[in-house]
Amino acid sequence: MDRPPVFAISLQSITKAFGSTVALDAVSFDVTAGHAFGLIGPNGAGKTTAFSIIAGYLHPDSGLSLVLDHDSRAIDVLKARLAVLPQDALLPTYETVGEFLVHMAHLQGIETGAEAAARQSLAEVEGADWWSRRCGKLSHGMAKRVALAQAFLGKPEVVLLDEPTAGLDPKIAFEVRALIKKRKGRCTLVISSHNLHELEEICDAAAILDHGKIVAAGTMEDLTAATREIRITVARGPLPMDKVRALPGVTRADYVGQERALTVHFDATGGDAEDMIGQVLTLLLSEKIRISGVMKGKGLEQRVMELTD
Amino acid sequence: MSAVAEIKWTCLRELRRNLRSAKGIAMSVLFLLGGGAASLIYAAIAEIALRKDIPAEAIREQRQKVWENVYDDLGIGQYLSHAPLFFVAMFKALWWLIPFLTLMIGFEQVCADLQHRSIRYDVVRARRWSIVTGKSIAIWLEVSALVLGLNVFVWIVTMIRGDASFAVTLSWGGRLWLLNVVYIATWAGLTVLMSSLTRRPILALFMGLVVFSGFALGDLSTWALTKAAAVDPTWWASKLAPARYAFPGFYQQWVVTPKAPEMISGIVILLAFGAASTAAACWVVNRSDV
Repeated sequence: MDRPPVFAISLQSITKAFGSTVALDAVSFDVTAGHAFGLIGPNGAGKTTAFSIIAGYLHPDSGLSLVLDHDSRAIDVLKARLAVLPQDALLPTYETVGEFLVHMAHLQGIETGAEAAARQSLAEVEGADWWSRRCGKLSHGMAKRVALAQAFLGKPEVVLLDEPTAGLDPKIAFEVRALIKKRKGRCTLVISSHNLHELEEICDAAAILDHGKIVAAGTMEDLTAATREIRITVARGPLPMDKVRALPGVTRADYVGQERALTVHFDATGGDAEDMIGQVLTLLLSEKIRISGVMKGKGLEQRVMELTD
Repeated sequence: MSAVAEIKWTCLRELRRNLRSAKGIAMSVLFLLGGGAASLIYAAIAEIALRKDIPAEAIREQRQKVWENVYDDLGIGQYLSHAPLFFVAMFKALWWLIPFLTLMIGFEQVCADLQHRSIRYDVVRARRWSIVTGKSIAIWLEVSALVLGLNVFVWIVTMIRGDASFAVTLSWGGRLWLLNVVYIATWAGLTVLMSSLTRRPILALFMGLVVFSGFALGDLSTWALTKAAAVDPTWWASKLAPARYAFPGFYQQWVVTPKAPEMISGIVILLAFGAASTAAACWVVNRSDV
C-alpha cells in the first residue's frame, strides 16, 4: 500500500510572470500533511498567484507544483482529494444552492448520495435553509459560506482557502473561522489571508511572501520567534534591566519606554518560553512592577511588518 | 469518475442553464414563432397550388426541376422531388440560419464562466476538456431540439392539410431534421471555439458573427467561382474553387444526395468539423490560466 505523502503540497522553484511583472520568482515551500498552513503577504506579494498555481488554475512558467505527490493539474488523480475556495469566483447565478452543490458532488464523483452529501455540507456551514435559493440572490456572507460548503464537500485531503473571511462582517467572519477550525486536523488546510491574527490563530505554519519571493517560511512558532522571545507590557517603567539581563538564558533584553514594552530574547539554557515568562515575571513582581500583558514571540503582524516593504 | 460522466453532468447542467435563462426562453419562443411563420407561408403557398388545380405529378416534376437547378445535380433533383417542397425549403433556409442561431445560443457558454471565474469550481473536479466537450454537446442538443420544435410545427400543419401522409412527413421531415442535426454539430463546435478564445461574451459574439459571416461569404464566393470555372475552365477560378471544401456550408450538396458514400462522407466531414473545433476549444481552455 502507498504511504501517505509527508508533504501534502510542495512548490519547487515556481516562477510565474504576467507580461513584464514577475509575480513569483523561484518560490519553493512545502506544506506538511495535516497542517494548517498560511500564505501571507501584502497586496501584490504573489500569494494569490501561488494559491492559484497550487489549485491548478494557473500554469507556472517554470518549476513544479505538487499536490499529494501529483502535478497540481492532474485532476483525474486529485479529484475529490483537493478542494478549493476561490476568492473571486462567482457562484453560478442561474442555479439554486442545492443544484450547484449537487452538481459539484456529481463532478467530484459522488454518484449516489450526492444530494445527501451536498445537504450535509451545506448544514455544516449552517446554510441548510438556503437549499432552494438562487445563488444570485445570496448575500456576500451567504455566498461565501456556500462556496465554503463546496470546498468541504466529501472528504478532501487538501483544502485551499483563499481569503475565507474577506469582506465578511465580524460575526460571520468569526463563524467562518470556527468552521475552518473544525476542519483542522481532518485535512491539510492552506489559507491565504490578509488577516494575520486569523492566520496566527488557525495555522501551524506559514510562508511569508513579498515581491514574489519567500522572505520567511516555517512553523508559526519559528516565524513569531515564540520559542526565543517574550514580550511583557508593564504599567509603568523604569525596569531593572540589569537584573533582567542577568537571568539565566537571557541573551538580550530591551525596554521601549514609549510602548512600555520589555522584549526578552533567550536561548535554550533558560528553558522554554513558559519558563522564561515565569522567571521574568517573578523578577518584575518582586520589584513591585505592575504587569499589563505577556506575549510569547513578537506576533505575526510585527514579524510580517519587519519582513515586508 | 470517467470523463464520460463529467461530460454528462456538464452537459445536463448547461441544458438546464440554457433552457431556464431569459435568453434560452426567448430563443425557444423565437424558434416556435419561426415554425409558426414558416407554417403560415407554407399554407399560403399550398393554397395557391390548390387553387390552380395543378396535378400532383406536375407538382413533383416542378419540384424536381427546382432542386435540379438549385443543386445542379439530376440525381438530387429526382431524390428531393419526392419530399414535400416546404420541408426541403425549410432545410435549406435552416442551413443558412443554423450557424447564427447556434452562435446566439452558445456564444457565452465558455467565456462567461471564464469571465466570472465560476469555472474555478469545476476545474478542480473535472478535466477541462470534458467541461468544454460537455458544453459543446449541450449547445448541439439544445439547438437540435429547438430546430425539431420548429420542424414539428410545419409537419403538423402539413399533415393537417393532408398534403403529406404521416409516413411521408415523418420519413422526409425526420431525415432532413437529422441532416440539420449533423450540421448543428459543426456549428456547436465552432461556437464553443469562439467562446473559448476570449473572456468577454460580447467579444465572443462579435467574433463569432464575423467568422461565421466569413464562412457564409466564403461558401457563396467559392460557389460563384465554381460556376465561373464551369463556364471557362481555364479561368483562375478553377484554381480557387477547391477552397469550397473548407466551408461547412458546401457539404449540403453531399448530405442531400441519394448516393450513400457521398452522403456518409458529408456527414462524417461535418461531424469531424464539429469534433475538431471542440477539440481546438478544449486545447485553448486547457492551456489557459483560469
